[in-house]
Amino acid sequence: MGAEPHLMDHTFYLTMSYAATALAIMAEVVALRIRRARARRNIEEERDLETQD
Amino acid sequence: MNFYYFSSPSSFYRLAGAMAPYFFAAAIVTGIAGMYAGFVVAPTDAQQGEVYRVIFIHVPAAWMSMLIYFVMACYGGICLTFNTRLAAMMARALAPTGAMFTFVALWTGAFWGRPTWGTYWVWDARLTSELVLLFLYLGFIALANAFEDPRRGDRAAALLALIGLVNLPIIYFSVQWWNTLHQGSSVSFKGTSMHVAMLWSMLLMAICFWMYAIGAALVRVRTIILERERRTQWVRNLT
Repeated sequence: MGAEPHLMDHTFYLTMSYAATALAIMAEVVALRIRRARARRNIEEERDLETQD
Repeated sequence: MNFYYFSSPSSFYRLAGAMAPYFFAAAIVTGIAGMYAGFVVAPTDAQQGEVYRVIFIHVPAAWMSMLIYFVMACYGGICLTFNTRLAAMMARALAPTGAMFTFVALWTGAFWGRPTWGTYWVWDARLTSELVLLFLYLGFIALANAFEDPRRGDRAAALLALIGLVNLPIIYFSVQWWNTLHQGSSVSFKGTSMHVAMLWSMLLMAICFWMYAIGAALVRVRTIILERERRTQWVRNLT
């Protein structure tokens, strides 16, 4: 009986640690995809401009 | 096999693209195995209870924060010595992932510290030097992007990375040099005092983070190559 509140307290600290790690990794993956998409878009835009010229 | 072939951005772009998915796949497999071992196989700690399971991400993240910085500084050194473009790009590609792992190490350390030490933060030598490492990463990223000419940014940031190397032995030996609240190493080349299931969980998560870091750096360096080489014919032929 005494172990349950103890476990509940630790659940908060474990959740905050693992959730923050998962969020940090997901944020990095999203940032990577956005940056790559922007780089490819810039290349295509420059190529289109040159084709118009 | 001529390794100089892969020092060319166009050759490395293809090699990195071929390798990155394998590293991400290895990260997922070892991550699942590490989580299973950490939450199902590893027993509850007699003194700390369940909260000790934070170490399965805290310790590997702290290891990666130092290892990535060391590799980044090595690339910085190669950039300054041989003036190679790819080394500078690799250093830039590693910095955000290193900063992310340093943040994770500090954050998870705080959430482990609160129930065990009674505080989220203390100006302890280990914690403070790890915070300095985060500032070094952020400084590197800011300095690398502060110049209009990216090659000048590369050189300035590489110099900062090399100077910042002095912080790594301070982080590692801080628990021996000073009387810190942070405990000493539980794992060393001489052995460990940990339960074998706990050790394996931590090692699997370390491999997971390592694989992820390599995969993320390879994907990012491909983007940097695209940004820098966008006016070359081989890049235009890609899209």
